Amino acid sequence: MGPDDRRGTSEWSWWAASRRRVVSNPESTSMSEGVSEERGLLEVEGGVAELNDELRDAVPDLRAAFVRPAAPDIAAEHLARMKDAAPVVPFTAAPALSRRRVGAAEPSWARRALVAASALVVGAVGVGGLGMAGALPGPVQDTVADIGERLGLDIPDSHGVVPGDEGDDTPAEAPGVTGETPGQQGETPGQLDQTPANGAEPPGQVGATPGQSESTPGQSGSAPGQSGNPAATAPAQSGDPSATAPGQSGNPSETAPGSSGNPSETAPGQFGDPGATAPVESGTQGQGGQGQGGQGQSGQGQGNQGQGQGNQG
Amino acid sequence: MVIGEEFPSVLRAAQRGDGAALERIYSASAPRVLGFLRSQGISDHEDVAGEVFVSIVRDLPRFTGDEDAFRGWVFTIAQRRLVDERRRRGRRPEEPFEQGDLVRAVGSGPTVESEALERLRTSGLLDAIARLTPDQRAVLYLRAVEDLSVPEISRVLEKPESAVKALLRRASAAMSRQMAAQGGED
Repeated sequence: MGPDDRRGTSEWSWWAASRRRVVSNPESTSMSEGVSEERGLLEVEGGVAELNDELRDAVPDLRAAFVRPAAPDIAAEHLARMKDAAPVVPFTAAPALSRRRVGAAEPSWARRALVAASALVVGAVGVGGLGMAGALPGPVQDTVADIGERLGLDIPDSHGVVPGDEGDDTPAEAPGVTGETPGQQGETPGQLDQTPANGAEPPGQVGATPGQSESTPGQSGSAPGQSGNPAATAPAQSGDPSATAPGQSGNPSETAPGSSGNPSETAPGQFGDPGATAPVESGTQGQGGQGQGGQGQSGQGQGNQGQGQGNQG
Repeated sequence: MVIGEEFPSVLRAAQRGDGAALERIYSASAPRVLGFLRSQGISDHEDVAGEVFVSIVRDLPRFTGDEDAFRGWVFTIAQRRLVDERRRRGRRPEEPFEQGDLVRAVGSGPTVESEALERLRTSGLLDAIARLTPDQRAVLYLRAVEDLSVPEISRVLEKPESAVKALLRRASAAMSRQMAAQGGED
């Protein structure tokens, strides 16, 4: 069975129609009974020229001589070959179909759960990895950073700022409010940070001075702190007792960073770098009550804003 | 042999591989297939017929049509197996064969068939048919014995209708010449 045979399979659908169209008398079986005329061949081909009289008269003998059934043994052999070649198709296709459906339905839940879990894991890992690398688009990166922050992960936001560092940056605004004078004082703690052991007391001392100076402006400093970074202003707003104390409110690290947050006025060389180095140092200062001064260092821009508002206050 | 009105159900059963349906298909088709192969001078026509029916069974699930269409489809498969057999033997389709080939292909059948064959032989018709080319003989057989129309024969032989008509004309003319020549010799 070759492809040619399959090609001819559908071509025979025209067969019955063509026969009905051509044969006007289906009862006629021999050429001598006018089959040729009825089938239109004589008109087309010139009649007798198609089949001569001898052949037409001999058609019954031709059929008798050629068209015979096969011998029994040959027929049995042919039938055996046919049955061997026959496609094994069940008489009722429903069981096979139903088995297929049931088989497909049973593992579907497990498959779906597995696919969903896999997709979730892959998505979380992928997004998390991209988020850690800071390679996500801005809004997505911010969202991932926010989620990571809640989970205790340090994921940078769209600006490349790690939330832990960002918290150190925020207090810079409040100090910025205190403005110019503490800025000078802010330098001292910053320098003292270099030697923490010494830094503990001198900031307190230094803080005394800013605390005084900030006792008045510290209030005004609270207002800009709101407009600036809320986290930084909170102590000042709440009237945080620590804020009133000179050592705290005058926390030179808070005020000083404000001044230091204004790098143009104070020591730009130390605090001018708004970024990474100052907050790290401020972390040490914060423990000594001065650390927030360093926060102000990185928050220069915000400190400037706070400064302006502080001036208004 | 005709299956008749039961053909659709028999066909569906045979397409599923039902043995009884296959037997009915075979009983209705085998005489025609064997006759066609005999008329083409194939000595081992029974073996070729076996291949034809194996091909029929394998392609049966794809067949659609009524009994007349099925008959033409069977002849198409038989013709293709015939061409394959000729290629295997290396015989060119245009090459006529001797009367002995045809007589051997027809063989010795029951009394009625033997008498018919003897009449054909004595009338010179069998020799005239044997001198035709295989294509002429196929066209003549399908037209005269199987009562197929020209479009149907063109489907079976996969030739244009014009070619079938030309083959029919030449076959008839050649037989007339042969018969006239034999009459003159006698």
